[in-house]
Amino acid sequence: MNFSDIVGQSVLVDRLKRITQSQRIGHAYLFVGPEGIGKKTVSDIFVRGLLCKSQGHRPCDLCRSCKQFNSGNHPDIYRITRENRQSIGVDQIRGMLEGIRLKPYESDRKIYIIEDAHTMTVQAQNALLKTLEEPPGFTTLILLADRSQGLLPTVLSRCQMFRMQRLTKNEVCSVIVKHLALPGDKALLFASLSDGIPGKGLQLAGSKEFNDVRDEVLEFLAGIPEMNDMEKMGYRDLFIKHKDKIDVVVDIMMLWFRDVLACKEAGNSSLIVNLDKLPLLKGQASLYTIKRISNAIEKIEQSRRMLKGNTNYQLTIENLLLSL
Amino acid sequence: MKFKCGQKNLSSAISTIQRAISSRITLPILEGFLIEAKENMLRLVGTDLDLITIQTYIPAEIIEEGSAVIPSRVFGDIIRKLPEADITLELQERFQIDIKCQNTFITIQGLDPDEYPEIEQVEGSKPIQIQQDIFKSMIQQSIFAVASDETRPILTGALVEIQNGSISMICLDGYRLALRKEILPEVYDNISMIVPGKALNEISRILTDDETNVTISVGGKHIIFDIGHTKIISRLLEGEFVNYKQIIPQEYKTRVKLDTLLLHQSIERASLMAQELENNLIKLNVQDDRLTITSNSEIGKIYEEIPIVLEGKNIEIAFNARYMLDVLKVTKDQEICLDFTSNVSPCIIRPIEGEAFCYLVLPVRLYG
Repeated sequence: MNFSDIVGQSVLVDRLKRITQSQRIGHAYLFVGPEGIGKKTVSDIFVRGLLCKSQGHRPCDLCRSCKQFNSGNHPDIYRITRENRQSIGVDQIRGMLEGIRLKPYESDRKIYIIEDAHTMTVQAQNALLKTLEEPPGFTTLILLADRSQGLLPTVLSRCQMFRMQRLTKNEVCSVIVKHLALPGDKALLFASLSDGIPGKGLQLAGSKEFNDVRDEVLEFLAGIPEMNDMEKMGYRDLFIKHKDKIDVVVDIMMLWFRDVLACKEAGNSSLIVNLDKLPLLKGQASLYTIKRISNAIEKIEQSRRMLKGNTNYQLTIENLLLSL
Repeated sequence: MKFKCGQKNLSSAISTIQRAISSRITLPILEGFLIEAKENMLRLVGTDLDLITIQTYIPAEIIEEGSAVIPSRVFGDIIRKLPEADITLELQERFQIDIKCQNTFITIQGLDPDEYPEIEQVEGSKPIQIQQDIFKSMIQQSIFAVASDETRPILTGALVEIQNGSISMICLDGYRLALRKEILPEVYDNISMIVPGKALNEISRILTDDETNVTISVGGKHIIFDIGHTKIISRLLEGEFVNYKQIIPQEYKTRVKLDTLLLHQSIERASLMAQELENNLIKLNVQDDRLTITSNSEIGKIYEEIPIVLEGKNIEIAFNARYMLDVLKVTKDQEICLDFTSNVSPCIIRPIEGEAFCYLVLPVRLYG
């Protein structure tokens, strides 16, 4: 992986490239973006670039430093991770600070990477403050955080922040196609559900479970026009079964009605996400009025909001089912 | 790579470098050690990355030059258990290593030597030569004062200073200070560096008690101790050390000359009584020609008297016995000087003549 392999994030990548080329390196960088956005991927390339010994394009992937990094054996990189715990505790940070004044082993600088930095306890963050403000000249700290809210203002103000932007649907799609070698139309479906987060798209695309859930939900959705209220209520159990994945289920429903609407209005298959179900969608389109579709979309959106607000799960779902 | 060497040689070289290999490894490659065959010599390197790296050379018959990283524990165990005969080692494709010794054939998987951390070659200023036993005593007589808590990381190291033809080692932890000085036989450039205390401890264990020289070279990031075929390398600490010269008072109001052993034994006894207390408190009372040491606790009390030669005023002062004992334990001089100014300022322990050492201990405030 190199900077050129990063899809999207062009502004960020340009900035990082400039830093690695100029070798005017700051003392602390913070990468912020939702889980799966690619913080680790991007920061790893950046770190490799900072340590790369090549005179030209950095990272070169050929020099000793890059090789050591790629095999996970770089002596001047220290990684702090959660290690399956809830949070990064003060002891872990203290352990890290123990060796901070030790000069680098081989390179000109030492790099400390704190993954999941937003899970640091307040005590851990406070323990880090003094060093974060003024680490020894050869040290660079890199923090990766899913969100900046978990971090103290004192920590935030001491770091240069890089915000990772969500990708467009097509960008996520190209990431999925490249990594999992899926056909474009299938990848587009997962990209639509990924919320612009490539990691999430890849996870959905790689998971059999998601496909099973989708099949079950689509089977229900396809039957709606011919169902009476009693029959709709029968599908309550389906929703209860997938309670922990309700976000995904709601996404699938939204996309379905969106596609039905697109079919009815445009009749143009280039707008359709669920391309594998095209004939079925076309059949559905004639069974709905536009008013009914827009009503359904509205109700789904409303239910999503209500569920986020911790309403009673079963009642909300039943209410939704009856109003579709 | 292909070479032939004696089992005994190889086995002892591996035990030497294994001292540097930690059981708590941070990088997978550190489980192994680097072996390099070049110009009729084998070079073996082991490191824990944090503290020390040990590098040792042994003679061998090199058939083909090259290098590899070999898992240290397994390989060490194998070599140790082989019969005392010549071992042939050959590197095959994909870092597979074939070992042959008499009728034994072993194959183990090695790693890419390019991934092994390598140390910069130190060049520049003239390396310092000093006798091993002297340097070892310097470490042992000062290292106890190094800070053990990590709140001030720089104090977990010892300041090593080469200045005007002498070498000094300074350790301090905020409660006491130890300074140990030796005159160097030659003149070197002035230089100072901070070496981690843990690494010095390890080095003092490896140094021998004879008069052969250890050669010390200093680079930007490392300090290298060279003893014949073996090199011990430590990383340096970065930062500003406390200006210790400012701390040591040059004047005194009371100077006490006394027998080291008597003082040591008396304080040891007195501290037995004080052990229960948190700060191990003992009270020293200097009066004319004698020093009395007392301590009280719930168990009972103790009174000790030592004859002294006094110069200056009488004084009453209290100390944490442990800090005093740490100093007295390592002092080899038969007689020493204690300098005091007041009972809230530090006590300086010096030799009667010269300035080979200087220890500073802060007193405990006396109430009432």
